[in-house]
This record gives sequence, C-alpha cells and structure tokens, in this order.
Amino acid sequence: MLCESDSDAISEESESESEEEVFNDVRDSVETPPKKEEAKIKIKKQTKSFSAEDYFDAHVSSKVITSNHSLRKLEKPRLDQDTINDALQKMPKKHEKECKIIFKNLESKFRRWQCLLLEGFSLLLYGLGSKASLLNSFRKLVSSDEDDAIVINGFFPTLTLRDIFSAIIRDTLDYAVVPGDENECCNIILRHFNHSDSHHLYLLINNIDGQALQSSKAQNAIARISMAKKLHLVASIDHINAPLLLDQCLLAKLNLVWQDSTTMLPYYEETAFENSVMVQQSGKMVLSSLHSVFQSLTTNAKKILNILMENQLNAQEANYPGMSFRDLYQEAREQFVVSSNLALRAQLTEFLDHKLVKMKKGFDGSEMLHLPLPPAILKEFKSTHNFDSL
Amino acid sequence: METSSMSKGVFVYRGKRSKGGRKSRSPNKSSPRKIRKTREEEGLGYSQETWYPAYKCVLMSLEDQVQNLYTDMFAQLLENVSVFLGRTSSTAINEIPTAVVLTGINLPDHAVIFEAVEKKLIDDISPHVVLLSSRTCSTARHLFGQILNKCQFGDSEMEIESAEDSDDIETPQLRKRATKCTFSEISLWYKNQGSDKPVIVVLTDFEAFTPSVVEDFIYLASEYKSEVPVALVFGVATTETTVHCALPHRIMSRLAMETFATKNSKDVLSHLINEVILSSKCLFRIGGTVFKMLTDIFLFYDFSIQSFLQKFKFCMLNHFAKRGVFAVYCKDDLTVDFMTSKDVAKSIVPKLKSFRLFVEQHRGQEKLDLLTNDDHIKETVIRLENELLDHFDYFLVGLKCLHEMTASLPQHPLGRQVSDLYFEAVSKKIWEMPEYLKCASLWKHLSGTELEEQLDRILLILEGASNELAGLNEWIADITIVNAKLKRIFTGQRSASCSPKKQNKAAELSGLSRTQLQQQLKELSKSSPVQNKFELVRNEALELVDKMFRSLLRPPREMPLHELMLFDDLELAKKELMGNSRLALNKALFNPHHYLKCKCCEQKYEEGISTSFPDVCISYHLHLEFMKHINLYDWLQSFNLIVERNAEEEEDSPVSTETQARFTQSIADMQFLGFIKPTSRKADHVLRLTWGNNCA
Repeated sequence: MLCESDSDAISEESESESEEEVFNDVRDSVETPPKKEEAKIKIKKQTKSFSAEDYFDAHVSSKVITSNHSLRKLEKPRLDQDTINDALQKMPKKHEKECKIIFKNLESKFRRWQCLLLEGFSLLLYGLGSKASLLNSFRKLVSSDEDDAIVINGFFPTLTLRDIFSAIIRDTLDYAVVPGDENECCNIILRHFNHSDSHHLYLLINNIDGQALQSSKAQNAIARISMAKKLHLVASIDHINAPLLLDQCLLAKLNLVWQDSTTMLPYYEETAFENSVMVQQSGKMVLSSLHSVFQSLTTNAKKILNILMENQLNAQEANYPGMSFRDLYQEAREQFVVSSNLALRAQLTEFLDHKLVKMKKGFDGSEMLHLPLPPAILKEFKSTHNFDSL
Repeated sequence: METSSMSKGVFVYRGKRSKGGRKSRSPNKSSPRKIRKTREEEGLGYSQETWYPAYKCVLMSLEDQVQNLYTDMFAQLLENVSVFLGRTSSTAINEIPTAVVLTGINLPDHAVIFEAVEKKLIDDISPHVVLLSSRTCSTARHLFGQILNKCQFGDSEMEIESAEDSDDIETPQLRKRATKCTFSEISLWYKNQGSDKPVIVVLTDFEAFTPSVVEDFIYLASEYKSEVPVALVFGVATTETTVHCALPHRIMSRLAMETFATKNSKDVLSHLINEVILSSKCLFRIGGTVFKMLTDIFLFYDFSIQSFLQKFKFCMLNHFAKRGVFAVYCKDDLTVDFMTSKDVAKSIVPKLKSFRLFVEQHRGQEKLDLLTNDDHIKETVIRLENELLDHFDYFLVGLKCLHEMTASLPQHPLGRQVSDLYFEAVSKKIWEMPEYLKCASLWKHLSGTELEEQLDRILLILEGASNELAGLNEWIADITIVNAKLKRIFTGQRSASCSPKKQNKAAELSGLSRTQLQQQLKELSKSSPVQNKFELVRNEALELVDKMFRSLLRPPREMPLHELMLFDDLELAKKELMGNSRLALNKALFNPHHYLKCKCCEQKYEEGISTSFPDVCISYHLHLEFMKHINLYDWLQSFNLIVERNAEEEEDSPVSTETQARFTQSIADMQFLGFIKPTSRKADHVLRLTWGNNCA
C-alpha cells in the first residue's frame, strides 16, 4: 500500500515499467526481482515511460478539441442490453482456453488462501477480470457441512449494509430480530464469531469497492467484523482507484493479504445494471416497477399521475422544471379529481413515497413536481395503459 | 451462475448443520463441541500438515514474548495513571480527575493500550470502568446509554453464558438495553450499587468525539459529583492542546487534568526488535531485505506495532509453509533426526542451491559421498544445521558488539539501530562494505577513554552471552588483555607526564647551524612519525575487534542450508503485503499476453494493438491515444478498424451489430474499472479519468 500510493500518485497511468521504477526509487535498497519476461522489454520499446509532465500535458487549460461526430450516425445509436447479450453469446469467445488455464491456476491456490484466512488474515483479490465465478468456486470449497458462507455482490445497486448484517445475524445466527443499530449488529457478530464454540463463516464480497459499500461507514463496519476470529473475509476490488478507500486503520483491522487474481473474464454481471454509457437505457426495471405501483392506484390517483405525465410530455423546454403544485391542483379540480388542497397532498405523498414523483423547490419557492423518468419510457408507459378510458 | 441475480445482492449458503442445531445442543451439550474439536484437530487441510505444530509453537513463543514486552513497557504508564486517579478520586475536590493519555498517531495499536489500561484500573481502583469510542457515542444520550449498559449488564461474555444456560430459548435473544439514558439513571444505579468506588470513563479517541457531547457529559458529571464520583481518561492521539481547543474554559475549569505520555512507537519497535526479534529467543529468523521492508512500512506508513507483527507473522507462516518440515528453527527439534537418510537425501539435496554449492566445494571421494551416500548426507545435513543455528547466535552477539562500536560515531555510517546493521550483515560480508571501512577509519580517532568504555561495553555483552556460547570465551580473554594494557598506559601516563625521548630530540636540534637543521628536519619528515604507546595499543585493540567481527559476523545467508532457516522471499512479501492492484490492472490491459500466455497476442505484439487482444484491451489501447474527452463515435470507428483489420480495408466500413455489441461491452468494462465516466459536456462523449500516453 505504501509504495503503491506513492508511485501511483506520480504515474497514475498504465504500464509496468514506470511504476516499477518509481517503486524502486522509493525504497532503493530493495532488490529488484531479477527476472522479467521478455514481453517487458517489448513494452519498453513500445511506449515511453510516463512522467509527472504527462499529468500537466493532460490537464492543460486549453480546450480539448474532439470531432463533432455522434452516435446518431450509426444505424442503431445504442443497443439495448438484450441485443448485446445475444450478439456476444453468438460470438466465439477469445482466449477461452487460456482463461481456463488461468482460472485453474488460481483455483490451485485455494488451499493456501484458506490457510491464510484461518490464520487471521483477510484476502483482497485484485486484477483484471470478473472475479465473481472465482469467488463462487472458492465458496464451494469452503462452505462445508459445518461452515457457512455468504456471497455478497458489492456491485448490486441497492445493496445496503443492513442487508449484510441481516444475512449474517438472521440467516446464519438464527436471531429473530436484527437490531437497528449498526454497532449493536457488529457487537453481536463479533461476540459470536470470537467464541471458540462458533462455526466458521466465510464472507465473500464481490467488489468491496462497489457503489453500495464505498461509504466509510460500510468499510469500517466490514473491517470491524472481519476482526472476529471465526469470520473470514475475502473481498475483490476492480476499480483502478479502489486502494484509496483503505486507510491505515482499515488496513490494520482487515489485515490484508493481496492476491493478484487476474482472470481476464469480461464483467458481464457487474455491468448488467444498466448504467453504461453505450447501452440504451431501456428502463425496463423502472418501467416494471412503475407498472406494479400503478396497478394498485385508485382511479383518481391514476388521473393525477396522468395530468403530471401529460404536462411533462407536452413540455417543449429542454430543461423541464416540473409542474407547479398550484397548476396541478387547478387542473385536478377542473377534472373533478380532487376537491381540496389537502386531498391532493395526501395523494402526492403516496407518489413521493414510492418515488414515482419527485418534488423540487422552484426558483420562486413553489413546489415543482415531475416524474424522474426519460420521455421515451413515459411514452411507452402511456401507450401500455389506456388513460383515456379512465 | 448461482450468485447472480437481478433482485438481490446477498446469498447465504448454510452448512448442513440443521437449523435447529442450537436447540439440539441443549440436551447433549458436550457432543457438538466435541465433534467440532476433533475436527479442528484433524485440521482443515492445512493444520494437518506436519509443519503446522512447529509454526504454532514458534508463534506462541513469539506472542508470549511480545506480551511480556508490552507489559514491561506500559507498566510505568499504567502505574502513573492508576496512582493519579486513585489519589485524586479519593480526595474531595470539586474537579473531576482527568488523565490525558497521549497515545501517538499509531491508531491501530491503541486498542492494546486501552485494554491494558482498563485491566489495570479494574484491578487497582474500581470495577466500574467503561471504555467508550466515538463510534458509539454520537449524542450525549447514546453516551449515557453506553455507560449504563456497560455498568448494569457487564461484559458481553457473561451474556453469552447466560444465553446458553437457558435451554428453552429457541433463538438467541437480543441483549436487554437500558431504555432511559440520563445521568439521573446512572446516579440511581450507583446508589443501588452501594459501593463508593468511582466510575471511570475512558474516551479512547478523544479527537473524534463531538465536543458538545463531551461538554454535556462533563458538565453533568461535575453537577452529580456528590452522588456519583466520576474519573475520566482521555486517549489523545495528537497533543494535549487538542483538549484545550475542543473544550471551552467553563468546562475545562471543572477538570483536574494531568498528562501522561506513552512511549514513542518508534522506540517500542526498536525495543521489540532488539529484545524479541533479534534475540536468540525468537525462533524464526527473517532475511535482511524482507525485514527492511517491514520496518520501512512501519516507519514510512503507519507506525503500528500491531500491523508490523501481523506482517511478521505472515512471513513466518509462509516460511514454514514453503519449507515444510525442514524449516530449521530450534536446535533440540531438528526434524531431520527423525527422518530416514533416504528421505533426507531425496528432499534436501536437489532442492537447495546453497547445499549444491556446498557440494561443489568438495573434491574427490567426499564429493561423491555427498552426492550418493544417503547416510553421509544425513550426517552432513545435521552437522550443517547445527552449525547454522550455533553461528546465528554468535552472529547476533557480534551484531550487538558492532552496534556498540558504530552507534556513537558521527554521521552514523552504519545506521543507528541494530536492525540497520542486521539488514546488511545477514546477507553480505559487512566488513567489505565501504560504510564499515569508514567506521574503521573513524575508530582510529577514538580517544583513550572512549575506546576503553567501548571495550568495557563489548566485554559486558560478550560475558552476558558467554554462558550459552562457549566460543566467546577466547574473545573475552583477548579483549580483557588489550583492555588491561590500555588501562595500564593511562595509569602510567599520569605518573610520567612527558616522554624524555622527545625532549632529547629538541635539545639536539637546538645546537645546529641553519643548513644542518634543514637537513635534520628533512630526515625527520621522511621517517614515519613514531607511534606512541597508546597508538600501538589502540591499533592492537582495533585489529582484534575487527578480527572478532570478521569471525562472528560471517553472513548466515552465505552458509549452506541457510534457506531452511532464513525467510528471504522479498518478492512474495512485497506482492502480498503491499499489493499493487493498479500495476496488475494496467499490465493486464496493456499487455494481456503477460497473463494469457497465448501465442496469438505475443507474436503480433510489435504491430501495436493486435486483433486477437481481448476487447477491453483494444479499447484501453485506443483510449490511451485520446485526450481528456473521448468521442464515443470515433472510438467505435477505431475499434471497428482494429477488429475488422483482416477484412477488406475500406474506409468507414459500416459497423456490424456484433462489433458494436463487443465495443459496448468493453466500454462498460472500462467504465466499471474507473477509466472513463459519462459527461454531459458534449453529446456522446466520455471523460477520461487517467492520464498519460496521448499522442497529441
């Protein structure tokens, strides 16, 4: 960690050569590993090594000029996830054999990993490639008749720390209730897994650097429970800046052993949650949730939603601020949907609770309401439900 | 895959231990425990290994020693704190006695210190000691609640016992918690208690507490002083001024503060190294380079003894795992003794480079025996192992002597600590190093008294160790003789203040003519200056010391079979203890062949980006050529060019759906890895988050 942060500060960009050099500058007395593959010499030929100057070159204030081409020139500007998956499925996979060999090699380290875990270390897997299948395979080895294992996908967008705690406390320790306080949860876990009578629990976290676990609260809690004697943590990181998450306190608690587990497998699962730039935001998940909430609404509530939607779809402005509460009330009254200000508010509360509608303060202080969905989805939604018949 | 789902992120895999396992424990309480224990003994794979007991034994002895060292080091501090709190809490003053313990910035070690503090205070002063950390005390209410919980329900372990005793409980229940968290509740509890011992509240990380919470607490505590005597301990990582800055004067005036400093963690480490790691009691010997790495991490990164020890433990585990039963750690326990000659010959000879070198040194029959005669090999191995272990003890004594001689020299050519000497001397002949030669020349300028003192100290070290190491006796004898000579000179010099010879010479010169005088002076300058008695003895002493160092400090790393004793795998330690995820990531993206070891990527390497690269690597290579903003369309076109390179090379060939899908996936990967992020600056552009290697 020490050297890594030092060297990376200087040569954030790629390539082994420069990093290695800086690395040695930091601790010059350390012997360099003598043998390096020939490939490295080739790299040397290929690229200049990066220096601090590059940083300033990259951040010159002058405007960066890029072409004005846009994806609209293509037949289909953006593909949706299903098309991509189909296309990739059909294509022959590159380097399938080599990937399998790498995977096998990594699997042969499992015994050593287990040994390290049982001696009180935690493992941090890094390197290119999805490590989900690797962790799953490790899980199969360690979860035996006696011991439990929990696999956590840190890349899952709505994961919370509470989910993890409840998985441990309710599902493996058989508590009826999970306490609300995080400290209390940590204490229960620590108490149980420090007890010599306890079984072992393997906590396998895909992407401990994932969006949901990035907060220092989550990191600290995980580090804290990893200190328990019979709770063993294996975590993977993928983000280039993930080591910045770990400060000295976390490192001391986690007691990490770093493992280069480059699998070279594509991140299909990790990127499947519709947040990529090139993927068409089909909004299927949003749409389906919208459908299910909509089913349970009363006719009047549906009408209110319709008014909001119409207003939003008819809006021409690029920066649609939303419909003001007063306008909505006016409109709803005209359609005999609500009779009083309060009744409308009661309806809106329901929308707000389900996050169907968002409320913002406008520049004049009035409440502006809008549906947090792109127009395409709104149109699709509108077309599936016959609003005119309401 | 089993762990992929669009609707949940946590997957639990329970063992076959039935869900009612806990219930069934009650009727036959001992049986599951027994089963578990035997399983532990059988081992989970690795503890079955034959080397494991040896490792465990060495580890235990190390942990014991560290524990003793800690107890010794903190004894004074704990005594002071306890005396202070004991004295002040018994006297009837209005202020709250407060001990500020300066703990230093090595945060990971604080837990150990406060554990010791807690234990000491419970033993000496009062059973009501509450350790609080800022994590659990975000408001005053929480703080009071914590105190009440700790005081009323005691420690967590008792709670577990009670849960186990009550057999009917189907599922473990949550601990009861105090509901009313106010100071009057604390005072009520204290009254029911009926003891007059003070309640000691320890705030382990004072800086992280919200000042207003501490203020409220102190204010209330001093108001309730007559009912509940409270004493405070603040753990402060920085300086005492933090307390003054955090609390206003009206609060400070209610405290009777005294500051106690813990030992500097750098001193603790050097103490640890000298007393434990570089002592003959420590059964695991670490190589110079790895050891230097560990101390460097300590000095440049975290100052934490705990993480230093964890890393040391990691080295130990790896050493034993690698060398297996052959790991040499203790003279009475040579595994080779118990093995058949055949096994020894099979397993040691071909593996160890140092042993092969040792064999090469011999000629004729001896060499043949060493290669073929199994019994002879076993005998030699045992002899060598014993020699190695013996020598290492001498080596450590030699290091300490050398440290005596070098530590006080100006500019410290060989470093200030024994460990500095160890880094070098363990693998190199230290007397050949220029730094050593510099030291040797500096020794020639030592005054008589300095030299005498140093010889005395060396004698002390040697005599201290000579009980176990008989080989030191001759050195002791020699040095005592020289030292005695030196002492005699000084006592002699005081009686005859000036040598008569020099006076005579001066008298001779005075009666000469000018030319004669010139002649005479020329001759005098040619002849070397006559050494006086002291210089002669000093040279003798220095030669002797030098000879001793050469014999004692023979580098253990150059001895045969050293691999079995020293852990010197720097590469492994560096890779696994410090990690370099960025390097690995970039290496894999830049040169996938490094990991894939495939033929296709290697051959075409010189062409730059190869068609056979994984998609994400192609995208990565292309993105290196862009500046801060990347046009997705252009990126896609370049990608298309590379992928379709083998097809007809026609400008702006239409992008197939397959290519677009591949590109899209690779972009998603890049975004996931944190190289790019979407931007709204311009349509269909992304922002590059790293820098370097743009061709512009």
